[in-house]
Amino acid sequence: MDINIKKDDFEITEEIEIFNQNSSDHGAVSIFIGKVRPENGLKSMEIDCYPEMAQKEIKNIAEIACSKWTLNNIRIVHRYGSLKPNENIVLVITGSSHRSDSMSANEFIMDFLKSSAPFWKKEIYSDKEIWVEQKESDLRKLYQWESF
Amino acid sequence: MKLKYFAWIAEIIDKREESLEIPSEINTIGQLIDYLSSIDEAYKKAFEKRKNIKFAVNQVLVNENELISKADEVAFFPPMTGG
Repeated sequence: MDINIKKDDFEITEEIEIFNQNSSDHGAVSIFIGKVRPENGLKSMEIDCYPEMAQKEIKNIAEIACSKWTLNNIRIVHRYGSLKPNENIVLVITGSSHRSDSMSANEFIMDFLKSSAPFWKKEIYSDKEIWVEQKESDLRKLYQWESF
Repeated sequence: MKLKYFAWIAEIIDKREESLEIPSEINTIGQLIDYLSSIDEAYKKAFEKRKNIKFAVNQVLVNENELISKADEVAFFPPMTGG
């Protein structure tokens, strides 16, 4: 399990290579990449972060995922700082013997990152700055996993 | 006590972190918010919408009744919007 919280961008092929080096015995690998959506007029996305807590919280999320599904490896990269439209924000790679485990775990981890990991997004437009508010729909997705 | 602020809370208070001497009768997060709000208008404004604020003690999410001591790192932030 690797968790990396950083400002710099990540390179997908390098990340997959590291993931494969650390565990090569999986039959299924699921990869999710979250990017800055190029909303109309968006100049950049500022992502604030509490790195020490994020490290702990994401590790906790990953451990819960490992207890729910049979996973061989997890790699999570989450960026913070100033990001331009279309830039990468987050990468979640999950590996398992069968695809249902890696796909479900990947979605579970993303749902938790959305509402439980200490990151805060601010949208920067030429005439305004807006702190993104937590969405009710994201919270509902989170609660759905409780009964899983 | 080490205090940390994030997102719009840090903007209103105009600080990301500070170390403050807190009176010994302040034992919980709720009391700490009341105390900070009483000493400066910026804290008062930042903590106005109390329902919109979350807290962590030593990087663990807690509620307002959580006991705190001067060796703790206490953080204040809005609901998370990661991913």
